[in-house]
Amino acid sequence: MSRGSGRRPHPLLRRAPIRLAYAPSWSLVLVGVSALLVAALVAPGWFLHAAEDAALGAKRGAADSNAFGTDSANVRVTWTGRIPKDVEADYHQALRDLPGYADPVTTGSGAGETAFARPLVSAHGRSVVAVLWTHDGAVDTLAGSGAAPPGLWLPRSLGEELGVHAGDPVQLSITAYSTPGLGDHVVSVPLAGLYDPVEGSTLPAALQSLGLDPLAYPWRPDSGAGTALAVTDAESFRSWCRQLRDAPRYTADLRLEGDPTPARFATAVAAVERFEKRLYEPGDVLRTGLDTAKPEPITPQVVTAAPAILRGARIAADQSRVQVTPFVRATVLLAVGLLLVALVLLASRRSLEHESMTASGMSLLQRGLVATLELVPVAVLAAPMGLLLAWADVRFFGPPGRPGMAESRVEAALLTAGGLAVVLVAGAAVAVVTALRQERLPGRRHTSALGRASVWRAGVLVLGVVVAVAAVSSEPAGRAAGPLTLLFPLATAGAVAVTATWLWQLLRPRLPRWPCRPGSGAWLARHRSSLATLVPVTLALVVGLSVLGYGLAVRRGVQDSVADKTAGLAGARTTVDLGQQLQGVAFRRLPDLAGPDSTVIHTRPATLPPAFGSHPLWVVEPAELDRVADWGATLGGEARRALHLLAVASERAKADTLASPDDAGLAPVPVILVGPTDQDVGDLGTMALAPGPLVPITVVAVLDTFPGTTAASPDVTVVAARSGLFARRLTGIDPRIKSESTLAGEFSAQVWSGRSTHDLRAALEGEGLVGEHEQTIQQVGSRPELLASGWAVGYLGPLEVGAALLVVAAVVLLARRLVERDVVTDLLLQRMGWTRRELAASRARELVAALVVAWLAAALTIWLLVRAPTTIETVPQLPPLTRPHLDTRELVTWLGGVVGVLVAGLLVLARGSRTPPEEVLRGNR
Amino acid sequence: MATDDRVAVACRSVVRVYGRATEETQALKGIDAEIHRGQLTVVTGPSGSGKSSLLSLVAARDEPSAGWVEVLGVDVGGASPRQLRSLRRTRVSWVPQRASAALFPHLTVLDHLSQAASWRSARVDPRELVARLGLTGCGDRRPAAHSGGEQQRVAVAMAAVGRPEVLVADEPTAELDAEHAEAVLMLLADVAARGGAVVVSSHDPRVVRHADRVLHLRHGVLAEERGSGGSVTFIDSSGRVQLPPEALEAFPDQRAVVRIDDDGVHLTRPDDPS
Repeated sequence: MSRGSGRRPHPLLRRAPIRLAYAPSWSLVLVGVSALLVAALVAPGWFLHAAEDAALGAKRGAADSNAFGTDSANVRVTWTGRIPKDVEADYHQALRDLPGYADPVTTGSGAGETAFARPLVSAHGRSVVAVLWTHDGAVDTLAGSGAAPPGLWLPRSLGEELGVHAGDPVQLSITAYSTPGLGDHVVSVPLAGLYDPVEGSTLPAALQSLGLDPLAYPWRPDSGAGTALAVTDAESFRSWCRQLRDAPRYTADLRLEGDPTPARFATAVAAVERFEKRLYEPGDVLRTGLDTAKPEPITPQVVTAAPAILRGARIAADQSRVQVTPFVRATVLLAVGLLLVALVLLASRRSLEHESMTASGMSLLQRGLVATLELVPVAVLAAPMGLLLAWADVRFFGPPGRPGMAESRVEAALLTAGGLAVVLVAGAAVAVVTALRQERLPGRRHTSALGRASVWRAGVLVLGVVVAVAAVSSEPAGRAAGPLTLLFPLATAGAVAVTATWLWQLLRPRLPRWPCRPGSGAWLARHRSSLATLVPVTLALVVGLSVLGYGLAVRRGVQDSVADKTAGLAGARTTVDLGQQLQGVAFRRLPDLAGPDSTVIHTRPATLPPAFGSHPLWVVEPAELDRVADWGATLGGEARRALHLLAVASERAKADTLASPDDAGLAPVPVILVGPTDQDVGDLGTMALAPGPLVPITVVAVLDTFPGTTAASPDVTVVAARSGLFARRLTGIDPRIKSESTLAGEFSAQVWSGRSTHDLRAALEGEGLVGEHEQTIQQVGSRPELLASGWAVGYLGPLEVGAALLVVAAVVLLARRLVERDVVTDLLLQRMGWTRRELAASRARELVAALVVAWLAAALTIWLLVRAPTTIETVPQLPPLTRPHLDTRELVTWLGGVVGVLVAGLLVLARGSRTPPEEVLRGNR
Repeated sequence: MATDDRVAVACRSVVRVYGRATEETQALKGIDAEIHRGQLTVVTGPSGSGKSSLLSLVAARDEPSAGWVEVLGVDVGGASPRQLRSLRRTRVSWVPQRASAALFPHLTVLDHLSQAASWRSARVDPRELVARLGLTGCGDRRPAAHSGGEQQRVAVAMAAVGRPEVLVADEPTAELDAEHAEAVLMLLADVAARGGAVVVSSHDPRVVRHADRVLHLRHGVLAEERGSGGSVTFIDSSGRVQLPPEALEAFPDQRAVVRIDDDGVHLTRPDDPS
């Protein structure tokens, strides 16, 4: 009858994997936080892959218009001369072996017309000029569907001029002008056929479908160049060139295949660089073979921007890495924190179960093992969910590139396994710690709960102070790179939460109490509200709400900062540098020249004695600039006010100057100083415009950033109004007077416009003006650091989701705690005449009170963080500094979140308050 | 040190003080007691008299603030966690006041009993135990499918598996009707009959009727012991005596004259001329 139980694992171990099925809501929470952890670990890798891929795509896209140009990722190898036979196969095989690139398409061209010689095709005593030319597939295309006959293809017009037809022999030669016919090498070849060229070009019309690169041969009608092409196949071309003693020029074009991933592209680039290196490496079989070429060694040239594109993409990816690292850390920390909170709360909820295990004397190993096995199904579900979450995060919030899931599957699998291991180990650790706490006899606990609380609260406060001091005393550039970005908001939120709940506990008994009828809901709430129930969850609420609000503020701050930094670099949608082209043009004509929605800015260097150093001086028309400049997201306020002040002050200065009988009475020129300067508003000074005069100035505004000034100078930029500066005589440098000299220091002109490059260029060309340099806001915005900043913002998504989860979990927990606390007493109170509605309303008051305290503390935290030194600046070299701030939209979102969690809490309260009495008495709730 | 082999648990001058944030509560004020093997000992007393505190000490789940408690030869105050764990796993079992707390929601009744057998390395047939509990047919059900009384019986059965040397149960019949309470008491009596020391706290007269000994606590002090030899009033190590309430009525001024002679110690009212 009896049976042993030693062999089989005991039931608690055996059935552990189904334990959490009996706590579905907790299972859901644990799966959620575990998935968040997996996502937080896996997403950064995919995010950086996507960043690199997006940067790669952007860089490659920029060169799309020029398939084999110097900016292109395609490879062009050119050489002149015939590759020696013993190395020819290796050479072409090496080109074909370049990974990621299609097989080379080779174009060969014989000697064209030069000042000394010309290539001739002759027949029947007549000669025409035609250059021997071959291109892979050209002959087959010319032959059409039939088999390509061997021989030469000539333009139909030349064939008729020579009086030849397909199959007739023709003679090829290269004849020197100086000695026509003497010593020429002549090759007799059959005529394969005649072709029709593109009108106005030398290119055979049939070959247009091959998509020939214009550089392969000047065939465009507008190129103005064109020796007729004598087309043949590659083998004949090689043979005839040898017989003609011609030194043909070859071009092998290798087109990048498909849309390679960064890893595949890196492999391709490495192979190209290796190939290029072999061409110059003494002792290499290729180099050695090419050295034997006659009449002279051949050195092929490799033209490609692939390595530069890869470097640029990696820089962008590195920038992204730097910028998202704080958010990655924060997300991982938040996920681990949420996991621990969930596990600790679950252990607390199952404390009686744990006590049963403790009472039974289960070993710590068994406790840990049971907890681990309980979490296995959670891990199994969390893995795909986490990967899905990571994919969604990168897909919807990350850079617009491919996340490279296939390439990084091993890494992702390891990180997923790592995340799940953390979940299992954390579960085991919490179980073991719970066991140790329970095993410690109550009589041995010498520190009271109050004492323990004081210790950790003091710890949180000290940490908050230390981190705040570190934040205040460090340089902005160093903060974001270090752990402060993450620590500062968390430590501040923790410190404020601790202080707020401590004050709540301290002041609650001392606060004047509103009179309430004994027996009312308010009276009941006041009497049974226990801070022990409310405080821990309120702490979690404060941290969650603070992180959520701060995350939104950081998102807004970074987005605005990217716009402001872009504006600081670009100035306007399109800027065109015209140099001295507007010299001698009257100011009244400038609006017509620049066109609508544009303005002209005169620039030149100036010094601000007694300080040394040259600063850019901008002379602007304030009203026009105000309309045209890109004011970013936040520059508009202060900078536009400064511009308005400049306009008013300049008009006044102009009036004073015009009224002054002599130079001695001239009013100082109002200026705005942009950048780091010791001068302040109202200061008077002198501006030297060598070789022009010294100009007295008065500072009307000092700004950190102004549109366009970041690109102009990292130092101070002086902005003056035309009316203010040019009211006085500026002999020798006045741009309205055409100067014959080319002295340095003359004003040059820029056109800033709100129109597209195309429109502005067309308008300027209509006026006979040609831009020397053009810049668009899109070009500026594609700088790696700005791109990376924009992408990094996407990473705030999971952080905000995590914070929102924490808040919702805290509120739900608080509501459940209140319900559980009251479930028995409510039954008794109902028998004493309280209605269920009154009891629920009384509990709702407690929930609302806790949420109000949490909300106030979180609002204070966010206010402090927004006003504290910024810890989120990752590109400090580009002003203005990135600061978190809340816009109306974010405020509404945050407040909406607060209301949402309140509603969630009230719903849980309402649902929990409906437990039937018999269930309450059975203890099955 | 208890030298009597019959003694499973010995308490000497046991004081238990609970510290709160603002005050201290003295739950036990110098308890001297012994729990014997083979007996069902019931601890009675009004609420707040210290019953649960005493049971926690007897079950080696707490240590005294002063004095000492020896459970099966192990000094609870000086024992290591490993010793205590071993003691709980193999020799002492505990039934909490709320039976549902002792049960695992995902285990069936048979699983619970197998688990208990596994902890104590006992060879038992869980189905036989289930039958003895009157739960035939319920072995494969989980706790949620049982009433509070049934859960309580399963919890007691778990504690009884493997013949623990000390079985401590806090109000084991509180949620049971007469029939089921009787089944539980029979189970506890069976453990005692097999040589185990069974300690139960209870207000239930049915439990007291089954008791071999009754320890009555009042205000944290052991006031009375009733056993087969009749009722005995305790004198603690400081010489204090707690009079039974009916005796206390004889001293309305709470003053007494102590007279010692050859017949014994006599307490009389101060105004009693005799």
